[in-house]
Amino acid sequence: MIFQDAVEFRASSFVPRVCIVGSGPAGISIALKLAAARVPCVILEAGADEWTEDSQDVYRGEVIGDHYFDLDMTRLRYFGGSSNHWAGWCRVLDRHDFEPKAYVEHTGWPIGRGDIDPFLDETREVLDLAPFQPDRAVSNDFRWFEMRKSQPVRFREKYAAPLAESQMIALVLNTQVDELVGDGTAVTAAKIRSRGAEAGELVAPFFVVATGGLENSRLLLWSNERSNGGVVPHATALARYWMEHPMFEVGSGFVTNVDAMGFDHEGDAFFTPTVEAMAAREVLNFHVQIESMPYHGVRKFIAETACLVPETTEWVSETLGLKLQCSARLHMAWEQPPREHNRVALSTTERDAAGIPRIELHWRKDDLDRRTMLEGIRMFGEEFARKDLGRMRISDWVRDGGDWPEDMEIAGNHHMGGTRMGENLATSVVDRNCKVHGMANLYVAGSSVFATGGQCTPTTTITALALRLGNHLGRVAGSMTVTKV
Amino acid sequence: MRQHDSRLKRRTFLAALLALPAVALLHRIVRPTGSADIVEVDGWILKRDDVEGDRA
Repeated sequence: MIFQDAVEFRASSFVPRVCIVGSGPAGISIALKLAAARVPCVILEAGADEWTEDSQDVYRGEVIGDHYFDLDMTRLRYFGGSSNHWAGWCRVLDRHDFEPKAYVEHTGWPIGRGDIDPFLDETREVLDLAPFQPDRAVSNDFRWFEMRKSQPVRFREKYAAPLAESQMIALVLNTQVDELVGDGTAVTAAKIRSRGAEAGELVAPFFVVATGGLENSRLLLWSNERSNGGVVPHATALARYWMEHPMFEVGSGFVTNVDAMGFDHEGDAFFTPTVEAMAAREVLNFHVQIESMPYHGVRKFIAETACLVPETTEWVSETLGLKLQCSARLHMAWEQPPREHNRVALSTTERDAAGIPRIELHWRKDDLDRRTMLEGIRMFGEEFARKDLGRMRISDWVRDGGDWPEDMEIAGNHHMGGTRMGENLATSVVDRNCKVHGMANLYVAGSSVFATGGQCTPTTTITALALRLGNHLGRVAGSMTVTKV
Repeated sequence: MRQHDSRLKRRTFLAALLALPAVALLHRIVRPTGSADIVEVDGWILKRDDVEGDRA
């Protein structure tokens, strides 16, 4: 069932056992699992079934620290959420991404990859993915891996009809949660606003916050403030340890063994280090993307490098002359260390149309980011040469510790952390089941629960974790007797 | 034969670039690496054989 606002929904007399806030990949994936378990649920979507300026305006905010995207550009606020501009690149976090790294504080999850493996087949069904190709070792230190570039699933397009037909799922558009109300042990209600006007309270036995990797923190911060700590009773880590995947073009090179590259249909090849290689240089996870360039690109590349470092370029070109097959740009994306000071905060001066404080995102890369980038590309370059795959050159700004460029990719639009999963109440917000510490009926879904980010795009893992949460809630909510609330 | 021709073109192209006076002023910066078989020169990561083959 799809309702256009809260008035329509109330007229239906639908009684949900679970209230899901947000209709992005996480929210819809949970609803699908609940429906399969015959647990009625309502999804509250703040936006409409299409983009509107007024709705998107709620996402405006300020970034303090490193250069980052405008906060109303890096996510979308309507049915389907940010799946509406998702690129479709897929990969699941690796087994070792869940393990602690002794040399980086606050790493390690309370669950392992084995906890989400049972949900990967369903994840592929949700995201329309064929099975992934296995990784392939290219050396002792690096593996080639498939970054699946899928036709991105727009959740609004794929699931509008199934949701409309479902008798177990009620999607309510144009309806936001202004705040959750809690007593320190459970959420007792959600104060909602529909079509811009206050629309009373909605009560349900369980609540799931699935509004995205920035907004989850904002909603919980604001709710907790309004409830005097009654929504997140252990809030030391709330909205902290926020992470991205910094992404930059870090060099260029010649490929001399194209056959070994495993370029995909767009001419890209992806490599990631082994856990032993990361530990040896005390860096976090990363991937190197080799973007091949066509022949005219080779000439341009030679011209550019010849201007910059003529002797070396001549020398390399001469040395590799007979084997030179193509040139390449080198891109890197890496895992950030979880830092308490990287956080979402509520603005003290700016509020949205509903009077709720806007986001102030405090985000700064640090020495370990720079070390991961530089040592990572050096490590890869050495293996690249050693295996005679080609030769590469690290850009000057990377080697010289120059300012972070503002005219490159910058980051992946991957908003992680803020309600991270863990067992320590001081450094995490949710437990292994994504339940907020100390709360009986409040759960969080999405990449905000990531304890660390790994090197890969998050949507596949988000979906798998959401299906796992949906499975858990299906059991918990399905076993209880509910009277109309 | 075709491969040989393209190599000549590249060398011609490089020769023209290197004839520009401004670009000949740069110096190579050599950085040792942790591995005996690898060197880093002006940011290029090369096998030592690359260097010794042409320069030693």
